[in-house]
Amino acid sequence: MGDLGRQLRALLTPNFAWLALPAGLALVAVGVLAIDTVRPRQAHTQQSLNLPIALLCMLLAMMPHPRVMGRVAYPFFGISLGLLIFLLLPFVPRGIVPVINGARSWIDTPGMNFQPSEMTKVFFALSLAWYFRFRKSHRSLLGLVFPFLLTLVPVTLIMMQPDLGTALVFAPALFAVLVAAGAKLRHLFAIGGLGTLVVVANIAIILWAPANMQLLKDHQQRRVRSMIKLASGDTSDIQADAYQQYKAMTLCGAGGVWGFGEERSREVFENFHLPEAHNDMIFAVIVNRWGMLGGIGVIGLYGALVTGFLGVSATTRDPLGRLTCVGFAAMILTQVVVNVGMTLGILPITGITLPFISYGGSSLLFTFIMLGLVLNFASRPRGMMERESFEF
Amino acid sequence: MRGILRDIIPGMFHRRLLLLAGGVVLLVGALAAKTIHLTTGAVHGASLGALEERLRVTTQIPTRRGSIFDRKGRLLAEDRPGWDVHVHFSVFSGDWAFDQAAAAARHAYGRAIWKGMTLAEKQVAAEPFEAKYLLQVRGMWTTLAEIAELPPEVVERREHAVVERVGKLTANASAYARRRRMERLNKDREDVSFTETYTPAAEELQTHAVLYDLTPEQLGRVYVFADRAKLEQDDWEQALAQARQAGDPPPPDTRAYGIWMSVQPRRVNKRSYPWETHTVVLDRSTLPGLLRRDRPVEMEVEGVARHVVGWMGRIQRADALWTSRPYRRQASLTDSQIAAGVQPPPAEIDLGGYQADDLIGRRGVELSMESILRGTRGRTVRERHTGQETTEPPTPGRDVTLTLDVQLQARIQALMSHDPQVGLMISRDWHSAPAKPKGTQPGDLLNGAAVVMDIDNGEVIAAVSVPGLALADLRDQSRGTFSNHRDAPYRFRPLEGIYDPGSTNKPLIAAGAITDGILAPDEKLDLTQGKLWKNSDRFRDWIWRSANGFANFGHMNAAQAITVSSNVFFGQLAQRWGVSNFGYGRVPWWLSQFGMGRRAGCGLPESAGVLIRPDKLEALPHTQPESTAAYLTIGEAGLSVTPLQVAAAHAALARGGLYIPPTLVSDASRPGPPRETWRLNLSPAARDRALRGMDRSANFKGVDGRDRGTTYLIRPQGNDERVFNCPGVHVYAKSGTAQAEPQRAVHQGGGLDGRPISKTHPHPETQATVGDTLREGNHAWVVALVRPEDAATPTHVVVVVVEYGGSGGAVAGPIVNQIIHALRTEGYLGEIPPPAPEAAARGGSARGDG
Repeated sequence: MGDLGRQLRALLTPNFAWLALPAGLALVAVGVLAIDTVRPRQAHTQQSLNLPIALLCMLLAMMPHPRVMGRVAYPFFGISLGLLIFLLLPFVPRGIVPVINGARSWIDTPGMNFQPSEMTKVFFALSLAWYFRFRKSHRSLLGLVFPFLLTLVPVTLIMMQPDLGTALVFAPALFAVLVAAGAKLRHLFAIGGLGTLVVVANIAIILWAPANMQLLKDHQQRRVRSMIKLASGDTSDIQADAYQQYKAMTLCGAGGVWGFGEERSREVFENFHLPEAHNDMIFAVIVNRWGMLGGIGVIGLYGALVTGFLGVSATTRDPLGRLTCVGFAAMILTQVVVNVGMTLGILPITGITLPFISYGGSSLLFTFIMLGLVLNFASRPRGMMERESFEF
Repeated sequence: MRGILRDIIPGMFHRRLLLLAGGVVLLVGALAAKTIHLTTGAVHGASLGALEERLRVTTQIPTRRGSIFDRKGRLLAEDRPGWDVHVHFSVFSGDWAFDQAAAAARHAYGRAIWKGMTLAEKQVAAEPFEAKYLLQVRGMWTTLAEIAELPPEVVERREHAVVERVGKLTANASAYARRRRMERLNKDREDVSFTETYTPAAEELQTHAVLYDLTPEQLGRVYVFADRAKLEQDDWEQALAQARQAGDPPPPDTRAYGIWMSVQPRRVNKRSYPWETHTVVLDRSTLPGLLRRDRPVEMEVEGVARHVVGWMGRIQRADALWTSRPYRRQASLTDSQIAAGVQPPPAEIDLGGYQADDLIGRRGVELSMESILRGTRGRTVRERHTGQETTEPPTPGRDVTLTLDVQLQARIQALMSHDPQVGLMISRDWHSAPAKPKGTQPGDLLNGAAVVMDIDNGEVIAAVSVPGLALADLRDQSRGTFSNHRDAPYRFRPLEGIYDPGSTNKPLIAAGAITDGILAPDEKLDLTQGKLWKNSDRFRDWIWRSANGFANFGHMNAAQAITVSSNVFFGQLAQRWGVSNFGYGRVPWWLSQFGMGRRAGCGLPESAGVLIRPDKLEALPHTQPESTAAYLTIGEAGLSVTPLQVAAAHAALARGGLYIPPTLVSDASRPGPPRETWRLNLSPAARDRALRGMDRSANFKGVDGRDRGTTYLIRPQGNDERVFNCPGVHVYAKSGTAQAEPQRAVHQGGGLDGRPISKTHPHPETQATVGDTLREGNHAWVVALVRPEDAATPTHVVVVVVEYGGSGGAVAGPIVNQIIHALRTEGYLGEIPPPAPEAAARGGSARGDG
């Protein structure tokens, strides 16, 4: 208890958690209001069930010592992977693993559908940080192989569900952790360049190569094509592949600088159906209701949140905390960029939630657990270090 | 720079964090910039416009199509509001029963168990519940049949027809999707299953009509069931909600009228044709020979004026109006505009434009006056997000008045029907049809046309085509009707049938020749040779043949030549023109002046016919200009005309040379400029001699065929009878017996059953194959100018042509005579006669068809 008191006292002194915590709470408040615009019942559930559970878990996540967290990181990461495998087992009945939107991503538990991939994200970041905390092997190209393999396992399992959106956040998190952990930038830039080349080549193949040379699945190709069409002003696909994105962009654009306000926005969404408006497309609701100012405000809050995470990382002396915070920041930022990017028409449509804002128990729960862990690290800034970490 | 950074931030970890923070700023900045771009300026405007457009609910308000009236104000076509009953397609397909059964099963098993079931398990679980709902469906069909007072088989047939039609549409859509997928995957040789490419047609999500034209009482009974269903549904939903709140299992489904939620009465505008069927009473006491009876006959005529009034049909993509005047026109952007990111403007709406399922005129006045009759629909636009409503009222279509007298039309249609009780359009012993292998035999049904025109103003008061066309034919045997090229019931012969006019030309030619001065009004020509050219028998007088001992007409003037219909006389006129300053080209010039070879613009689609151009005729080689001109004078070459053109030409002759284009639509209803008339500047003597010849043709008994009028008498059963026997009416007539090209079987749709004729599939009735002769012989014409005895000039012109009928005077003459009787009965010739026996029944004798 004395430890907790010390932690709370530490949190009361000015630190970067002062940026992250209010930003997170403000985002969740915006989220509840935005969900209430389109799905009042879901907003009620989010507010009265999901949010209290998530806040409680955040407080619990603030308690354990980082050393304990580090020690349980690998076992819990293993459990997460086990659950991901469980989702894919063909004999598991649909009553336990329902197929929602064509994906086997959830376990049906009383009260909510639990999404193991959200849990995996948290323990992946912790495991990665625990792995790198005193190493310097990643300074060589060969030393990067293991972390990449470690990333490939959850990414492959999640892709098999399939859930491309969640799978997308792992690579940027690894990349950011490697940058912070002192991996050589030339190695990372080379790998990043290679990755960019693959993306560009894929787009070129989608646009110009014949059907038998395509690498992505048919629906993925269509989404990329429709996104490019829409970005170039061609609305010929708006009743087909570009339907959701066109609607989201129209709703954002129509919001203008000040937004429609609560009443009008509610009426608009009642009559202009946007699929997944309370979930993946929630940013369109925000911009429509609060306009450009609301949209930029939310992006700014994410900027503050991520900056807060990076700030905690900069101030804590615990190597586990340092890298964990960077990993979480990268994951959240990736989710925000992909989600907002697809809503604004600069990235193709994929299923990914907007952290703290989108409706969903698992997503909110584990995002708050991330915040709780960051606060945990922030509350122990003067932890004794055996030696300087990540200084090469 | 790097050194300075190292001095400020010595630790590598913090420098790296700064690098990452820079990345964060860049990404966040990019998102913010894109948000600003979308929500400001032109992009914001375009998005706002697009959103508002999509939030607008437009309800169309149907317009009323204009009515069609005859010259006496009788209603021929009108839009009449009515009620149909529609049923949702899910009921037809069986989906409704299965969905209800699945919902009942879900309630019975509970949500958790239901979620855990596979699709096959769910299907098995739902099956026991399905019988109850199928019974409801069956009961509904039976009740609907009872309400509409129809045999259940009729409703069942309609049910199957809907399923078949939608099934075909779905199959087409799915086949298209499958083809597209196959094209994409072709290179991988990957097969595509039906399930993968199943594409529903829009009709699967719509309702379909099963009952039509319900009376208010019937409609009320449908609403009783629909209201019960609604009440029951409300109670059911309330019970479900209460059970949910109390945490109880859902109550059992006790709804008995649920199926009626899928039944919708719909108000529709029907096109109604009150004169579609009409009963007339014909006096048979003036019919020739054995057809004559003392007792009148009552006849029901179907499809009165159907060719003229026309009919409606659903618009097709192939229709010109589909593309020329769409309801919604989306502006297309150029490539450069697309590249510049220009948003397409909202679609332009033309309330008078056409969209799928719209009815348009398919034939007759319904088609030709479509733009006038149609009107413009109105609309109510409701802003869904504000509830604000604006209404633009519809503009009804304008009414159209025809020049037809529909009562007279019905009477003539009855006269010219194939009914043996009248029998004028059945080949008779006195018809003198030439004995040819495929020539008309006694008893054969004849086809033809009749036109009656008011000489004063060129208004057509009756125009009959035989065989006729009734709405029932179009509805029940449309394919057979339109593929019957042998009798072509779809062709409106008065305007679209083209025939060589034969000797009906002769009065016109005589008038032209006298006006040109190449023939003195009473100048006699030497016809003793019996033929035109010494060395050829091709062009001869009809009397010059071995059976008559090579008799000839001696010396005759124009009126006498018209009386006996001498060919040689008119051939000599052609020769005179040839050697005069006018040249042979003057013959077609005169015919053109009489309106031949050109469309009159009568208000309906019409044929221009064929007339050789004067310069073309003059340019023919060798002796062909002379021979062609000679044959033109007797209507046997270089000229094909419609019955309407013949009527208009003789009306111009009767007027003394004033040509008035004929019309079937009253001048008040005609769009565009007034009809253009012109003068032929005929000399009074020319008109006089031409009419004198026609007068003698109808009224001069003479001694024998050498001086008797060709329309004076007929010989039914060997007894002489006058052709024209209408008291109080004076007739000027000219017959024509035009040698006609044989009618040959054609390839496309030649059979009665719609299948193309071929060697292996001959015509089912005639056994003819492609190119075989179906009919041959002469077209029989009579044109008559009539006036009441006390009138100075003719008031009406009557033209009748009978295809392959035989001798003009003998075949068409009695028909013209009966039409004259009909004209008199209807009060057109002299004082209105006392009421005919059918007059009392006339008002209520018309039966409409919508």
